[in-house]
Amino acid sequence: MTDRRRIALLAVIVALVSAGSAATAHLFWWNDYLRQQHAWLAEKAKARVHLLAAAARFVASEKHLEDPHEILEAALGHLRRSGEMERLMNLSGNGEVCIGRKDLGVIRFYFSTAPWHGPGHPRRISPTVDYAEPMRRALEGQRGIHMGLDQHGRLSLSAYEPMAFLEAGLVVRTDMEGMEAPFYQSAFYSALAALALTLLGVVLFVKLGRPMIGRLEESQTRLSSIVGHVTDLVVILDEERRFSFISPSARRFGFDPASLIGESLDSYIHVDDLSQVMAAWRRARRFAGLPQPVNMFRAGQDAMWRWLEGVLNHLPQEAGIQGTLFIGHDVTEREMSQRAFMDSEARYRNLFETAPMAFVLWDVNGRITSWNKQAEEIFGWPEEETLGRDLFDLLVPKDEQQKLLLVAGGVLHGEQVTGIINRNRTKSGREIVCQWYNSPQMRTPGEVTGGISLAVDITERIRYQEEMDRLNQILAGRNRELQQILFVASHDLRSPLVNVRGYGEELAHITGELSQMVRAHWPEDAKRQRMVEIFDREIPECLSFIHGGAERMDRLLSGLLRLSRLGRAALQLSQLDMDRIVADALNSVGYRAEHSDVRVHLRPLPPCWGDAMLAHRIFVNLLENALKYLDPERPGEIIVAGSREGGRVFYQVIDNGQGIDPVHHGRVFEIFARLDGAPGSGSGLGLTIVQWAAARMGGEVRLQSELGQGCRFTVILPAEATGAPSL
Amino acid sequence: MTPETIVLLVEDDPGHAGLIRRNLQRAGIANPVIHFTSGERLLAFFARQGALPHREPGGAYLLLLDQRLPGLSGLEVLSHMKDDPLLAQVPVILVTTSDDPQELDRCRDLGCAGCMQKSVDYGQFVASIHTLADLLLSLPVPPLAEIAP
Repeated sequence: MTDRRRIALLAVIVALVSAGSAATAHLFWWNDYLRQQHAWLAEKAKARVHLLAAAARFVASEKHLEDPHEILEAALGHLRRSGEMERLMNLSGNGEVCIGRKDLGVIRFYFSTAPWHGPGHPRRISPTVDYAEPMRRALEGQRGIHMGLDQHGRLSLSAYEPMAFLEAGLVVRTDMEGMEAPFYQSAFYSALAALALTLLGVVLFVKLGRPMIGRLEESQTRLSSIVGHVTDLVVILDEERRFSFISPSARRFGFDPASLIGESLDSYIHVDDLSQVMAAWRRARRFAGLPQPVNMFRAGQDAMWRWLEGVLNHLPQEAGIQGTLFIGHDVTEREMSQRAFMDSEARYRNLFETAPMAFVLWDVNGRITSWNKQAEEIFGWPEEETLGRDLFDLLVPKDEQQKLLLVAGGVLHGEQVTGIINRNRTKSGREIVCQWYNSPQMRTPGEVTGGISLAVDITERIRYQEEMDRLNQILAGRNRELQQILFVASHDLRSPLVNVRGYGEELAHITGELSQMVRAHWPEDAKRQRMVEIFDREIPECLSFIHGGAERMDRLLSGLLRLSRLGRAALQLSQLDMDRIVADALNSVGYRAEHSDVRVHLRPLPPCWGDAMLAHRIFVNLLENALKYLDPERPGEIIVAGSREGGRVFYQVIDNGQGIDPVHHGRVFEIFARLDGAPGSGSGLGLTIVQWAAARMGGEVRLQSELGQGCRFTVILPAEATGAPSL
Repeated sequence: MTPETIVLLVEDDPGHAGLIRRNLQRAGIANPVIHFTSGERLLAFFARQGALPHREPGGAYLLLLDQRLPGLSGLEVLSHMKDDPLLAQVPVILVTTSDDPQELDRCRDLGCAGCMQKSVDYGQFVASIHTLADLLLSLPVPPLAEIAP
């Protein structure tokens, strides 16, 4: 049943009750009226009996009458004569007085009088229904009131009185005509009042009840909406701390409110926070109706803890609650950010104190507000001596102040001015060089409250830098000299070799000529035999050593010359198409013509940043090396592959040749190092050049090898322009 | 070049000079050769200074110039001569021990008529002289025409 219906029913009941009570009031009133009428009638009857009795006693004594009938007749005659008849018979209002007597067991109505008959003219009346019964009772000696219906069917009221000494009865009767009017009137007014009350009820219901119901419904809807949408957690707990109500906001914590009903709160509180929640619970129970704060605690389950805080209020009598109400809100985010803030604060504090940099905080007037340990170390001033002092006066020499005023101005305008290098003064007056990083301190964006300056003492670093620059210059000069010496030496050393070889050949030529002359013209003797031996064997043997030595010297020198040229040539750095460069290198080493039995696999190679000539040289030398030291026991196989890793490209030249014992790995790159010991065709500079060339391009070369297992040379070159200086 | 053309050989190493002259002769170049041991002496010859022989007016000269010399280097002598309108007319062939292609390019850029490599390998040396001889014979060598300063 809706509230609306309930209230309508209530209104109907109120109307019925008011109608009922009006009717009851009416009946009471009517009853009262009847009782008055009875009393009035009874009194009238009694008065008339007394009057008649007085008259009867008078006439009986005067005339010595004994028969009651005679006495009655004489009394009536006496009254008539004395003019008292009027008093006897006249009944004010519409009433009648009737006297009857029993004559031989039959009731005979002696006479009756009514106002309209006039006094003194009593008439005989027929015994009618409404007289008969009261008269019978009066003649039986009874006294009372009787209600009956007259011959017209109207209600009549009679009072009857016995008159034993006259053997007669008296009935005073009045019809109820006069009484009906007030009855109906009263009934009418009662009905009217009931109607008015009902109408008033309806009006009140319409005017007040409906808006009230509306408001009631609205507030109920509002309440349930609020509870449905409130982000706070609203929980009602029973005596045993079991959930008897949970607001839908519990879903925010990952719980279905319906499924929690009946569960114990305790199992959803973090064990570390249980005691303080329990304390709040006990407090709330002790002080029912007084909300008790519950400090932050973790609620939820497993790893899904949320921070809550709120109030507990024990309301055992409160309708709809009858338990302990908890209203709380989720402060997890606040707590987390608070913790994060504290963590970061601690971190910064820690950083501030332990950073290997001086931290100086200053206000808009350039006065120091904070000064860390490192600042004390660098500048020699303890913090307490610096606070409130002018930063410039304390640290900056006069001639640097102008420049730094601009810096401070920039910072106070919200700019970051970093990397400023200037001279500073320490407490002891020593001058140092510091690098400064200056940022504005802001309370809100745009509101600069001062500056934060970080300083690093770079005095030593600058000294080292200068020293290093100087050494670098010397080194570069030495390097140039060395290159020059290398070039000149190899060039000039070659010059005598031309003579050695040239004149050796000339000598061989002349010796040949001489030999022929001896053979042609010298007689056959021991001297000739000796001369022929000298010409044919000893001189050619000497010459062959001179020749071989010169040739070897020439090879070494041309190697040195190549090396010196690598060192001198200006680098032309660009993005290199390594597929093409390696293919060219393979052609240069005569792979197809001279090594057709060797299989070379060229894998796709990523590009790199370098000098095309040097890169070509690197791969020519590596491929030459690989081809030269193949293992005759097995078919040669060479793989060239490459891959990019980060900013570098790794190229690999892998062969299955003789391999190099790891003990020699360091030596293979040395100038003129030869591991095979045989005077081969190489200059002994191939791998040296590879290493030099890679180094000039900012790269390096690595070797992995085992004797008898082939070599893997890895050339590492920058993938892109690095801006690093090349050698 | 004609048989009257005088070959000027600037070579500090007398051994080299001997090998060059010997092989030129063998290759059939019978022209007179004047040997200088430095660039300065050559320039003095052209400027008609010093105790050494001086150039003849109207003489036709061809120069074999060693690249590496004590004092003025071959390239310096060459650029000196190319700056002088008179001497610029003299055909110059640079003689060098270097096999650096860049260096050979540079001497051509400076206006050399040719280049000869003194190879350590004597077979190649002789072959170079023969090539040089062919070049010399084909080169037109004008008599030096005096130009008024």
